[in-house]
Amino acid sequence: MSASGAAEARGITCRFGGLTAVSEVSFSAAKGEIHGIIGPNGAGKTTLLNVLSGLQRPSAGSVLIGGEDVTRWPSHRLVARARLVRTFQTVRLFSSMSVRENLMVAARTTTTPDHKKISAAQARERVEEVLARLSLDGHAAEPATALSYGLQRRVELARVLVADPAVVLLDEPAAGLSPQERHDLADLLREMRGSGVTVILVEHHMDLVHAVCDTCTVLDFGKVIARGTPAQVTANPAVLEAYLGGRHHRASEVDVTVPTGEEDR
Amino acid sequence: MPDKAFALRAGRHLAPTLVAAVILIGFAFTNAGATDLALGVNIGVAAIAAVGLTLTIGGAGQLALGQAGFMAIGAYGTAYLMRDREVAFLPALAAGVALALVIGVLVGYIALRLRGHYLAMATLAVGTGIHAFLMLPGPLGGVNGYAPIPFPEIFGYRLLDPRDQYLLVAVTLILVLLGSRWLLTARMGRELAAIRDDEVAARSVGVNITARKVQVFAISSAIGALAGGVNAPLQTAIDPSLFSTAVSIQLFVMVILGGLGSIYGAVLAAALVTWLISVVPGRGSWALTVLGLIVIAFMALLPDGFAGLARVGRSLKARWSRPGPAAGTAVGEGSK
Repeated sequence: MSASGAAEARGITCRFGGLTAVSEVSFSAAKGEIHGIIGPNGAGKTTLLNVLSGLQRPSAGSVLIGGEDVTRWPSHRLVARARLVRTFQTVRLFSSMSVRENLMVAARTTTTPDHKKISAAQARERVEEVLARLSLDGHAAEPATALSYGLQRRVELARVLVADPAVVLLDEPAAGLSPQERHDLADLLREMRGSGVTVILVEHHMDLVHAVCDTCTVLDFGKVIARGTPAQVTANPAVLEAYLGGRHHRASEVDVTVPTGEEDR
Repeated sequence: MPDKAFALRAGRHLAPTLVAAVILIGFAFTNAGATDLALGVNIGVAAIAAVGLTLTIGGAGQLALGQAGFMAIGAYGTAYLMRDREVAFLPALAAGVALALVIGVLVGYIALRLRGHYLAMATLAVGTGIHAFLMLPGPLGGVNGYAPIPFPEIFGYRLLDPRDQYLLVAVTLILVLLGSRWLLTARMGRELAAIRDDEVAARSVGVNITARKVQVFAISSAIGALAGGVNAPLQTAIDPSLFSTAVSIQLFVMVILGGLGSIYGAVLAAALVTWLISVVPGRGSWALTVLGLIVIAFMALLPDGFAGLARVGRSLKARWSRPGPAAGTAVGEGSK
């Protein structure tokens, strides 16, 4: 492991025609760190995750996992070799499959620690382990998309865990969850951190960010406007401006109250 | 662990394949006449090609429409090697299938980067292109076709008897069903279903979607070539009209009527369509009209095709044995 951290973005820029969605974004997360990416809607958080997970080629910049440049790696290699997996803002489960089969797809694409292909038996073992760990064993045979929304979210996390990940990218995992479910999610994230997993967390729920994130990067209009611990960034005037500048409809979720600033655009 | 995986369920049990095998082989011993056996050959050949096609369309959700072109590669490849190069039937067939596999990989690698309608258009163009190529005058006979092709000989036994010829097709179909069933239930089948369900999610959990799509398309193409290659020497003469775009569309219709991804449904639909074309007068045009009406009726009443029929049957059974409102959900699941 190099000193540069388990997951690192260096000067990521992403242009779509004339629009620059992400502009020279850099951050670094150490092994076993939960790093929050926060910012108002349209700040470029999801685009950044897409770049990190290989779904989107950046216009410039590079992604390093464990010190290795993985910028041009296809997604399947990122999963198998860099052990980097992600979830999506909206739940994306395989609708024709049971919960168990959803997990099996993910388990079979991974490798053993010595880079060998995982056998069906090993994969099955891992799947059962994760099902039990997330208390999903009772739902294992049910069609995945027939479950309640909260459970579907949990299946998505289970599908991440069966990949035995080193780096996990989560895109608003708390969206639509009840307070209790958010609490369980926070526990799970801490547990993942405890086992050395690096988590990149895009989240709007500031209570979750405060509860679990070690460090944060704040984006606004594709640029980094602040970084630091959750407490530091929420006290940062630039962050308050970005969140409460009148553009952000979920401003109430930021648990600080200041007078509304001027509109900056 | 009885998982309720709708897509893979059809492939889980060996029973349907055994039933199909008994029916297919049994038909040969029912004192069927030469005409019936010839119809059986046509149905079997169509079924092989349709089962192959359903792997790509139903299994992976990729709309490929040029299957007749790959049948032509198998048919012409086998026929050419047997007649002009005096290669024995089985090696000639293997070479024809291998050629289609290679071309399938090449076409797949280019075309499968496209999606939906674009992929459909590209594969349709490939099928049409192969057909147009065969129409050109040259060593393959152009529009006049390619004949005579020697009868197939397997380990010194010449298949002259219509019943033997039918059995060759039936056994090939059974092998294709077994192989397809294995493929759909293996890791590959699950990854194909993942691609069909949600391509982005499949990528993000590490499925190599390009490789999988190219693989399944090449396998579909090779099975199409197998159908053509088995059929060519049985027909003794082949011509481009057997592999026209209309044939590609008919095969597509069989996949739809069978129920996407259902290999047994594809066999039933192949039987229905092939039989229709043989009995409806006007050789083709009226049959296609009737076929169009059947497709519309299926879309309205049984959108999941013959496979949907089995599902409705199961849910009725469930309702019978366990009265209650819950039984209705399976029907809803099938008809969305």
